[in-house]
Amino acid sequence: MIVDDDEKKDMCPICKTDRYLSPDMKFLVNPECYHKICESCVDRIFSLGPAQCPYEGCDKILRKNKFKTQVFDDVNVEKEVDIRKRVFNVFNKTLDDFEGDLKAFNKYLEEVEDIVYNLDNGIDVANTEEKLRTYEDLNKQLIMANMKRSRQDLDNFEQRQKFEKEMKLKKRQLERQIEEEELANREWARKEIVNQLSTADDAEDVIAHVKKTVKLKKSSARRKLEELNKVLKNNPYMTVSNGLMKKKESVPFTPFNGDRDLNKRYTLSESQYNDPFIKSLQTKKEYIASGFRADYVYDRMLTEAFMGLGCIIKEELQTSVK
Amino acid sequence: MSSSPKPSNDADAKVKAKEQASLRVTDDDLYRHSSQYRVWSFTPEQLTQKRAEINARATAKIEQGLRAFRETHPDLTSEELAAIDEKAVPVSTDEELLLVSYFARMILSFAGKMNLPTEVAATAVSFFRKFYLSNSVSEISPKEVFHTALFFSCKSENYFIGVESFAKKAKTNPNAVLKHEFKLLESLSFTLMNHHPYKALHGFFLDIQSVLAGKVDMNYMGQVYTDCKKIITDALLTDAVYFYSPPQITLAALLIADEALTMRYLQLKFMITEESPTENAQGEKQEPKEGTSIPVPGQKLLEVIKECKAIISNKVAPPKEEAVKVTAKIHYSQNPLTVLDRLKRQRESNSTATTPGQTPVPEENQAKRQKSDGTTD
Amino acid sequence: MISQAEYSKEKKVGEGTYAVVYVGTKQSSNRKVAIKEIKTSGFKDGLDMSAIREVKYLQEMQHVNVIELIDVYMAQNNLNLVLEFLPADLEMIVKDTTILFTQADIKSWLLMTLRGVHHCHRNFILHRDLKPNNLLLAPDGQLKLADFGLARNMGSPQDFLTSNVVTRWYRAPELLFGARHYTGAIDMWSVGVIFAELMLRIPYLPGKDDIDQIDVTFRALGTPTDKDWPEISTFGTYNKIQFYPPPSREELRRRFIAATENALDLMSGMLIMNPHKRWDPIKCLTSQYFVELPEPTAPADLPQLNKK
Repeated sequence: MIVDDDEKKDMCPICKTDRYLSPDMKFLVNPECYHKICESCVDRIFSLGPAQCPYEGCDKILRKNKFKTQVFDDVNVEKEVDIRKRVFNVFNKTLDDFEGDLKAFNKYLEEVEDIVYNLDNGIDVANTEEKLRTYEDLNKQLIMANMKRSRQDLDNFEQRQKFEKEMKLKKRQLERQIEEEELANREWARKEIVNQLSTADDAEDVIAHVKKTVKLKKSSARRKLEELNKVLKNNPYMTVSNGLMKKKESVPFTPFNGDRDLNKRYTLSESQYNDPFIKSLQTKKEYIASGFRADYVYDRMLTEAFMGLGCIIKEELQTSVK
Repeated sequence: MSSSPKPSNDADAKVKAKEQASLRVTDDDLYRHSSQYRVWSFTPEQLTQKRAEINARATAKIEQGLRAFRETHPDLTSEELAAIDEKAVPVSTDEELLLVSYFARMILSFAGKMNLPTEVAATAVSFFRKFYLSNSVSEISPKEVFHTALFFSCKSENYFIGVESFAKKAKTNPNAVLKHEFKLLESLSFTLMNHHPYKALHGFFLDIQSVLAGKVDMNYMGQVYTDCKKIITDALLTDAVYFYSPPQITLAALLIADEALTMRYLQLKFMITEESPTENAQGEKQEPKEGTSIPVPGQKLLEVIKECKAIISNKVAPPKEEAVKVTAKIHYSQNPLTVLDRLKRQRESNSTATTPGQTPVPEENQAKRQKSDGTTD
Repeated sequence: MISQAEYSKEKKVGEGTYAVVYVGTKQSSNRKVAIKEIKTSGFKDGLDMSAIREVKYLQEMQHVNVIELIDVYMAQNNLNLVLEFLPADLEMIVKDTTILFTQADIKSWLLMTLRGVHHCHRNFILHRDLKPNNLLLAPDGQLKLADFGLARNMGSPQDFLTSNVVTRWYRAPELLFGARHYTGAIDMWSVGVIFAELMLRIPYLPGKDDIDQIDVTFRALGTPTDKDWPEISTFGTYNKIQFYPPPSREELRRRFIAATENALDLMSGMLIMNPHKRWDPIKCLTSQYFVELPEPTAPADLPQLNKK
């Protein structure tokens, strides 16, 4: 058992180096047994290949590349987190996979929790591991798809949030603008009425006229706001159903992106070539051992035979003055 | 000097435009991407112009030197002036070309003596000839670039020989070999890849066997291959390399090696009919054989190959005397004093029967004489 | 000297045995570039082979997954290669533990790597130094093959090639045995090891020295026999090595926990011991792995290096 004595907490139990004295020291653990060992000991002990854990009484064989930095102070927490990570990477179904059947989903979650619990507490480990592996093998495609989806969901969620935040900000700005405009308009109307009344006779005519002008004046900010509301209603991020973004219009996968000549001017027919030189190389041991391939050589020579055959330099250069 | 062949070359812009039209990159397009196509392919007019410009640049420099010489030597006799006017003349474009060809041939025989692989020799020739598409023989002597081109080709073709042992084999010194290396690289516009037609020849050797299966004797094919290889090496000394792609040069060489065989192959492969050139228009409409699905307009291809064949066949090796003459001319035009020297010697020996175009005096002695001349003046 | 004025060198970002790398700007377009200044003094054989190779091969290739050589110029007797500026490489991404990446991301990087390698091989060029460190990442997420200092033409079949190529951990078994007539299969092995490293996020076959590399390689993947690799005993060192059984499929599944069956097929195909049978770029690119879900992440959506 690891000593949780405070004094020994920062000391490598193998080489007894103290973190106080060498502050660069880093502790690593191996998920096989979670015994804490300092980095330089790991280097020393496991560089030559897998070796037994140096803790007394621990017979686990550890590999150097499985060591990792300990994130949590408590190794038990560390271990559980690791197990959870591993299990949930495989059992990564969401409610959608159960078509919204909450009961079935909960049952599934319980099963997963059982697996985590078993692994964490060393109950029936062999069988549980087997269960995990079988599930993984059987559901590989689904697991991968879910991994992708959860990433996309996150992206999607973040994008949507950002979008909505921006829109809300804009809306507030517009509303403030409208408010200010209205205030200014009222003030203007008041003054205008006073002004015009001093020269005109019909007070009602004047008031009606000024009010009409104000109405025309204030509409620009309002129009913008209406526009914005329309956008918010048709938010592209809102059309997403079930949290799943509709897949982009997919373009067929092109392995070579056009970087390949599919209309070669020759057909390779190895059996028809009587090439004494190449044939002699084919029988040489050092050529065979090196991976020499006559078909590659033939293909290469034939490619060079026709590469540029259709380039009529005179004509092609005529169109562009060098 | 700078080279930005990729973005600035018009041919390349065309390639890009083509790519946008259709994403597919065919093997022909791949050749269009190559520096051999982008930087080192010309129309005959372009090439002539390029050489004329270089010659004009060098000529101007030499004429300037000659004028300066006359100005600093006001007491020349009319006989001496006449000798200078006759001997110290800048070389012409044709003479430059002759000298380059002469030395290019020397590279081949030299590489042969050193037992270097065919491709190394071919690349050295290519480097050397390209060097004189941006330099004049009167600016940098072919004698100085000759070894550099070969040494640099060894490195570029992965046939590394240390400069010490190279210099030893070439009977020169390492500094001389390396002196113009940067200049060479720069003159090559930093493009080093060469697609020599030898691999294409190997390919046609295979494809002929498959297209003419059962109709061609294998031993004879071997003979054609060997002959053709030699013809290709000769072709590398011609301007065909700037006007035609490697497959076209190879087919031209095959046509020279065995016209009947090559024509039969071409007929079956590309549906070319030689007997009726009047049917050109119809010929192009014909669909080529299965497996050769990219239509190469057969008749046009044949025309191109025949043009190329004419250029390759026209090749004559410049005789040594001619090369010596040009070398002497370069020497006199750059050192007019040596013309006077020669005149003096001619007078002293009192011989009127000296043949023109005598071998110039080795440079080492020239230098010494120049010095003593200067002091007596 | 147009080019010299056209490019400014702003900051030294690296120095190797034969070159100094600067970040700079192309003045006319304000484009950020990397300038590799090749040291030219102190090499008794003239211009260094690595420089020659790099210039030679990069001039020929135009592909989105191969680094672009923008320009070359001479200045003060130094050779300057102006390259596309690529701020990150795959090694940095793999090592940065704060970056999470998914199977789809790995697929995308592998796809771009394979396309780049395919383009090299299509041009008959062997890279001969593929490793995460030489797979650079553009700001738009595109991955690009870089460092062609060890590259060479697939020459004539009779050529003798040096087996002292490729950084140790990514070196194919035929190279470990000193093969002199190897093929493009050596690049494919490197890609296979890189694929494994992307999934494990630690180097897959980290040998400590050349001898250990043989041991590490065969311990992980099994020692080949004359049966699966004819004439392997021609190699002198073969008879001195230890025999390890090949890993079972189950062991591979356990090691590469997140890998699908198709992913394992592809990886194993690239890591076939016998170079003659090893998958080539065409076979890899047309494998089921790239067709099954998840789709490869779009380059622009790939994880980026966190800005410091």
